[in-house]
Amino acid sequence: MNIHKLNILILILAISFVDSKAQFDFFESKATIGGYGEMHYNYKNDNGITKNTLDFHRFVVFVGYSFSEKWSFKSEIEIEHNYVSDGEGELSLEQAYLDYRFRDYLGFQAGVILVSAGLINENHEPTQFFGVERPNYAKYIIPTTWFGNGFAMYGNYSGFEYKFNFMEGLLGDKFSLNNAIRNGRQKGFESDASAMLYNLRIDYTDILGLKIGGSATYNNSISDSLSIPFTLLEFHADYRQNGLILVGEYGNINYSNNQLMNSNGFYFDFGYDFSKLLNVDWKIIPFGRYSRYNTASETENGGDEEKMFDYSEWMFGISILPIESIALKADYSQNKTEISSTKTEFVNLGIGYRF
Amino acid sequence: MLKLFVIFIFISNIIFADGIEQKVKEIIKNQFGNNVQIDFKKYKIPPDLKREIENKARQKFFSESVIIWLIKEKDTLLAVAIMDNAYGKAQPITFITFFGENGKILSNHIVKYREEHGGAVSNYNWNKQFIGKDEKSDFNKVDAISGATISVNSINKGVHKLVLLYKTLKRTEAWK
Repeated sequence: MNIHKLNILILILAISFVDSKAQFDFFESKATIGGYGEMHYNYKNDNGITKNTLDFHRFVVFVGYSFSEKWSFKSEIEIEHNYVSDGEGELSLEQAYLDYRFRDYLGFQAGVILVSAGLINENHEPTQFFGVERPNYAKYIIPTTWFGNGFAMYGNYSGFEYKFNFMEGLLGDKFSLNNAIRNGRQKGFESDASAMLYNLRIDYTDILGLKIGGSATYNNSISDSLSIPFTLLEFHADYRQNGLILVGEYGNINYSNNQLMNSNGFYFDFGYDFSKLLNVDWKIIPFGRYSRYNTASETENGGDEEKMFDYSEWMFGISILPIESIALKADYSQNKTEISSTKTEFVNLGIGYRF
Repeated sequence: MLKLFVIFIFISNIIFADGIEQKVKEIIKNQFGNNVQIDFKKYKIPPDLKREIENKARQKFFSESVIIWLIKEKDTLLAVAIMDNAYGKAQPITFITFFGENGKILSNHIVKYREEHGGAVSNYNWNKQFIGKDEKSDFNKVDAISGATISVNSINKGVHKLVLLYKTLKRTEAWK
């Protein structure tokens, strides 16, 4: 294709994107503000060694502005653990992007965006998941909250929701046996853009109460020596109907050129909302969880190294939502590794809100 | 590749309905057939009434006005529809609720969903739960959708708001 033809095509493309029809008068430019927060009490008993903490874990503010029917800006600013000083606490810009919604089936984003992996990374408000803390799966297999600088195309069509992200990659030298890819996140800080990450998610939402889908992520992650390519494949489902709530996620990470060769894990939640049975306005949802995850399920050395971080976990708890925007939570859990016979116990209490 | 992409965007821009007016007319024709007369007007809600409804439904109207659609066949009124916006996480969701003369909801539709997530509130099966509701119905319970909690509750309150507004319309010029 010569330059002349290419220019004509780009011109046609540009004209296509311009709103040729006057919009029906039903839109006003407006700024929006929202947010969420959560405070936790955590008790841990690790073989007789106990620890109690009270922590305002997250304080988050959303600020958005709709310039027009199609152009908007969204942002999310977060303070973790109350304050930031001397390496303690964290202040981060987890989302800040311009959004152009061309059609229902096609939109574009550019800025600080979220990786589309798992159920919780993109929907992480405390009213959205069971348990005071986010599931360990969503910390060690999907490193929630996983965000960075980049570009996205997204949309929905005929019950399918999809998104493709092209964004900053991970730092492979920071991958570890006990944290998998988590510490490799660049978090948008002067990101090394020499090896971009590709991420595609597809969900199907046209069955009432069900969201089911999966994602694939590939990055030839940056390293001082040989780069470390990795692939993350995950599947998820969430079903909410007639009070019954079933949630499950499974993820698998394969690495090349690395001592760590595989990480994987899953969890399954079962809950029931008793509000209809009890005829009360408050949502009262007892739940149970079984989870297993291993951040080093396959290593070059093999042997006990593959059992050290192989966790299995049971959890029981309750979520009470007096109104949709506020959650009171409590849970008890036990976890143990394959290599150890001792169990670690946790008791967590939490309050959370979003608006 | 670029050539195909350009052609796809150009053709789809022509084929797919995007304007709100055009989408509402499609919804009306799908529900009532091609031979109906469609008329719409902007209706400024009296401030006292607006405040009263907003307090009851616990949601504000998007602006001081809503759009009222009248669907007639051979000058007989088949239905009245009210269209408003309700906020999702950050973006307005345009929705329209159709009423029969007895004040019961005939159907509810999402005309324009602008958020990236939670588009499942547009599903016909989810919106079916509003059919038959009127001002005496319970709007405290609504079917959940994963990842769309804000949109779900926002549309539920929005529909409640329009139900309360509808019952006042018969006494106004907007009905005629």
